[in-house]
Amino acid sequence: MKKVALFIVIFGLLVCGQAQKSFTFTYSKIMLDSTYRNQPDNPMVKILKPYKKLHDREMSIVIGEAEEILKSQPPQSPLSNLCTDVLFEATNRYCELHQLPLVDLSLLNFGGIRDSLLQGPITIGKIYVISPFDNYLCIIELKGSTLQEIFSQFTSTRNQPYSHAKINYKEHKPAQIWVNGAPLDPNKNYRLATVDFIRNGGDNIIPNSQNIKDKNVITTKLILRELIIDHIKNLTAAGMKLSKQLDDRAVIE
Amino acid sequence: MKRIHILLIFFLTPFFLKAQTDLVILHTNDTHSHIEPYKNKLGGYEARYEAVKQERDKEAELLLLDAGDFMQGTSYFNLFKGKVEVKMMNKMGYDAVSLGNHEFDNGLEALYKRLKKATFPVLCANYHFKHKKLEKLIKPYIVVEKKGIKIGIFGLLTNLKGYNGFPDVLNAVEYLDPVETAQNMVKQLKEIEHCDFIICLSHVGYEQAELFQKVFDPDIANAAGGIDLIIGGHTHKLLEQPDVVNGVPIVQNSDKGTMIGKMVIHFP
Repeated sequence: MKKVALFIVIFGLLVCGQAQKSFTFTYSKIMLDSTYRNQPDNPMVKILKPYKKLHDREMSIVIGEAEEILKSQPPQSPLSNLCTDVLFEATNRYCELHQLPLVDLSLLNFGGIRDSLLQGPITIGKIYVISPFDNYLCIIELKGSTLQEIFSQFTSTRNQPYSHAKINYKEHKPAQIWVNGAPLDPNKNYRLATVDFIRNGGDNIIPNSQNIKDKNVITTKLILRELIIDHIKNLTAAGMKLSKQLDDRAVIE
Repeated sequence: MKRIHILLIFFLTPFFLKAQTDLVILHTNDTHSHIEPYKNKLGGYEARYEAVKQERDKEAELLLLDAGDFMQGTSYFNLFKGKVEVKMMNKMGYDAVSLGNHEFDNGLEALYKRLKKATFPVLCANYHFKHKKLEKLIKPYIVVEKKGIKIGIFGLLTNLKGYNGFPDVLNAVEYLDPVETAQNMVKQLKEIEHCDFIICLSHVGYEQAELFQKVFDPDIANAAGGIDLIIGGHTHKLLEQPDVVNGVPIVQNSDKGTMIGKMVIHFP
């Protein structure tokens, strides 16, 4: 009988050992609302103080004004048009300065334009929210057939922002494509203004981007966000405000 | 009478040997340089610190983990290059942080400069770095003990190809299959480190977000038996409650550091 008792105790121990492996859980989220702020002895406030001072001084500078809300969305929108137009013009100014052939068109990604521009004063901080990434302008020389491949992935509800190209969509698909005023020629070489993120395959916009040879790419030290800031400053200096303008770069038939 | 004794011993033994233990795990992901509260409402490092402090007052031996992408997303990152985030995360007392794809945004050297100031372990098991100092600094896994439980934590990161715009990064990293890596990690943590509980701190994502990534947290839960918990990030997927796949709870918060996930594991 004692042997049996010993056996059962050992069995109990084994069961206990097994049970150690399984577990149950309780799960919840702690929402970090304002009740967690302004509490005593929080070292984060002290760490942040000197940085916040520098940061806020820079970010609160007002550079212009928007007459109405400027959104960024497919197939075209005031803010995405603005960004690609700035990219196109700034790249061509760079080309003129460095005696390079001008670019034919520009291309960005909607993922790189992170927010809308609200009506009212525009601060530098707001442009950082819209364009937080340090994206460098670059110029790629590529075949018309590659451009066609890029555009053929577009639909009227899912495309990427561009300037100096025009796409007519039929049943959501690109039916006709023009570049800088002329129909896209698959055999012609084009010069595309974009940013390094896209050149290196970001968001998979350029199919097989690794096949683009470095000799066909010029990467500048110009950051897109800084060019957008300069553009708005120039508008303000000329007494102009940002307004909601669309054009015929994307037409849905 | 004897029989009753035996039965009593049988039923009571487990209770005397092991009282129930609760392990509290707090987790964040994709905080993306949101030093201050998002839209002045939720989140920010100040609120996060206070919430963690209140949890620590209740449970001193809790585990605080971040599943990556603590860099990039606000002008603080542009202006100060990640210095503020690291300083604050040091003070917060993270037990471990896994690497996210945005940690690589200014290249490997910039990443190294930031991380050498970090006092928390940085985990990533499925990459090799052709940058000696970085390779040394980033650990595949750590083992920590909380409340007498030996916990193994390893890091996973999504494929940087097609996601990171820095060619020097892509040329200087070697990506290893996350599933195979997870299987190897479980083996290492169970058989060699003898861990009681294994956490995968994953920046692989919960579901498809880009073309090149083919496996996600549920695939890892299915393929790498032995993992007890997957703490996820990358896809900003708000899972209000854990998604249990193959018996493994998968958790993730949304982005911008607006919340902390709190997992309490009840060991019998």
